[in-house]
Amino acid sequence: MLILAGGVGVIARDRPGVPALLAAHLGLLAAYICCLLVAAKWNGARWLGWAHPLLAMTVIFTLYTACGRLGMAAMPWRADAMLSRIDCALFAGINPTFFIQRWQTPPRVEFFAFFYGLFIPYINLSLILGALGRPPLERDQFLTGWVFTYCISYLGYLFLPSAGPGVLFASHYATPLHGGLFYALVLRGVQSTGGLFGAFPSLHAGSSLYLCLFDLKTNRLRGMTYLPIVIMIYGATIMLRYHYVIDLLVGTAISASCVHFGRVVFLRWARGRREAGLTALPGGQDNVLPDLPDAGRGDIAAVLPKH
Amino acid sequence: MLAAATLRLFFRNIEVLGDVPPATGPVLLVANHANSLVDPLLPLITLKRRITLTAKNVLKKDPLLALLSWGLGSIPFHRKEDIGKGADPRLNVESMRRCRQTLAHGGALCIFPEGISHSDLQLRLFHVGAARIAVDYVRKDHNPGNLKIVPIGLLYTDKSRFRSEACVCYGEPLDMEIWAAEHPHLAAEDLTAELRSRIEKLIITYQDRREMLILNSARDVVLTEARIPQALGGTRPPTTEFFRTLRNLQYGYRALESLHPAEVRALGDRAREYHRELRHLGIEAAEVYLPLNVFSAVLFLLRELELVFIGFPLALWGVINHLLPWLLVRQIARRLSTDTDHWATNVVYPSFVVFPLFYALQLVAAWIFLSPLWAALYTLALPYTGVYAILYHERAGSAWRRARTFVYFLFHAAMQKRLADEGRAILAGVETLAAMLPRV
Repeated sequence: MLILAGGVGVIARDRPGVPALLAAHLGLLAAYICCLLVAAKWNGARWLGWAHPLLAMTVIFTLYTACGRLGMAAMPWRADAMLSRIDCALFAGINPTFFIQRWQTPPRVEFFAFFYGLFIPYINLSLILGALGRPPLERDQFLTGWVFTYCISYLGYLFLPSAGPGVLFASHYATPLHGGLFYALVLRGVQSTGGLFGAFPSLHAGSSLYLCLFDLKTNRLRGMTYLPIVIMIYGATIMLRYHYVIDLLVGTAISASCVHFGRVVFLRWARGRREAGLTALPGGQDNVLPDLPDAGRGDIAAVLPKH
Repeated sequence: MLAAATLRLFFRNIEVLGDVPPATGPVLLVANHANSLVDPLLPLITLKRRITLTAKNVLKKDPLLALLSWGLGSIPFHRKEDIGKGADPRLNVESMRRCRQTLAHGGALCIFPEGISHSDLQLRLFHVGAARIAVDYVRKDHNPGNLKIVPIGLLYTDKSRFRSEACVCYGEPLDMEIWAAEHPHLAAEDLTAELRSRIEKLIITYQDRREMLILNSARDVVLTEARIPQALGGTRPPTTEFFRTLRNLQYGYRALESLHPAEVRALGDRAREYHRELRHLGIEAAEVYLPLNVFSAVLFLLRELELVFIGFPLALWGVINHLLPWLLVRQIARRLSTDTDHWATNVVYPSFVVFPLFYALQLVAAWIFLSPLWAALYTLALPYTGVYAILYHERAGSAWRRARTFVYFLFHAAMQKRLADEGRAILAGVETLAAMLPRV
């Protein structure tokens, strides 16, 4: 992803704002390569167990802003008009962002802003607990799928830059949104990350759904606890005019497939390490790899041995 | 669907093992009978085909069971021991004919040859009815579709406990065409013995109570692997691991009991004593190895408090909406249960009626008194929060127990060390004895 973003930056280096972003990406790439070299040198070190998730999270979160800005600066087009047309097509000619205007009262905006704001604590808490509280194999499957969710979504940020319906139709809405404290906090948060970019696909939807789906598979109570919040985050992205419906649908598809994809890719990688004579995970943790049986079906011979 | 939903709530996990019988063709399912009327439900929900059940006719005295029996189209059998209760064994001729007819139409028939649910340590004597149906099907009907008899082992980790686990083991099917060719006399007694032997291999039986206590105590220690216990709420080891460990221990125990009786007895007594002590302290075997460091404690608190606080409104809503039907079901189960193998049945079957009835009342009220949006939300939230409340209650209980153990060990570090050392010593003893097993 870093190399791809660097390539985009190089190609579009003449566009305003791109050189600085290119330099930032190349710097990030260089730092990442250094970290990988260090990790390769101390392949068996125990600290890799926690350094590896930390590195993945740092790179992914840095790319969140960097890719969105780069896409906006490097691409000569905006995908907003196309995304809005898809939304209209999905709802038989009705644009959902205008359709819901009648319900966008200040209390409701404030209510949804609260859930929109919950996204940040939710993903951070999930990542901390996901990285520290899981068995090593499960942790790395979790992180692999999560990284895939973000990386695939960043392709949209890079190549289909969009700012969301709130920007595209800013002058078309009957009234601007009004809320209270939480809405003000959300607005301030958006401004602090440099404004609106990277609407397609929705990582608010994709990332939160990925965390929830993974939890539903591995820690059902936690998944069920957050499912209503994830649904409210979905609603909030539309209510606060940050996303098109198609952003949510694509974000959902990406995250749902990455839960499975991350597991398969990770286990293949771990087996590859084992075949190469290394431990399954860097740091030598958890060498027992699951055999991936069909869900709910086991091998009876293995359970009741023929003694 | 209702049965599947209810059973999957009663049991935390239901695992299916072995090759599930084909979806078409005549199949006779024969299973052990350990958990009353829950037993027939397990094949019913794990097989993707319609199953005709057989039942003792006296069940029809209960109006609810009579209705259920009629709904499921079950075939009644009259047992000799029920003659005084209105059974007429002469009517079994017609029942046998109906069974064969079901098979001839390519159906699946489920029979429990023991004839009665029980909590014995071993299988009871098998009635010959199941074998006779199969034999008659070959002899009188000429085996249309080639009947397969599938032995089923039904295993429960703790059959009367809500949120325990169950395993449905489908054994290798017995092909009646092949069996008939090998047994030209078609003796139902021979087939009965064969079926009994096949089912016995799928379940775990005990020689005596002492063996059961020793093996179950040792199993708890072995399953810990003397490792730091898993974080609460994470992926649990498969239920099959529980039975596999038990089975392996039993094999070793029986093989070594005669070869090294003193060592086996000493280790068995030690495991039992250890188990007794842990139970007295209210500590689970795995929690003996709890790490007592600040980092683990903070992580534990963060993880559990997060769920306790954020999940509380959901759980509370679930409790409020399900408390009344749950209390009613529990009251019914308490009144009706006279044995451990009644409890699950007396919870599961009344739930089929009580919960849908309450749901219907609640939803009608919601759609009358609330706006459509809130009523729709209420409709969605009702089953969701019900399941949530169960999981929350379970988790809160585990978290409380673990926290209590942590605090106990914090003030009794020497006790933790002694228990951990003893656990490791028993584990080492099991491994030492395993090394003495004669090579096959």
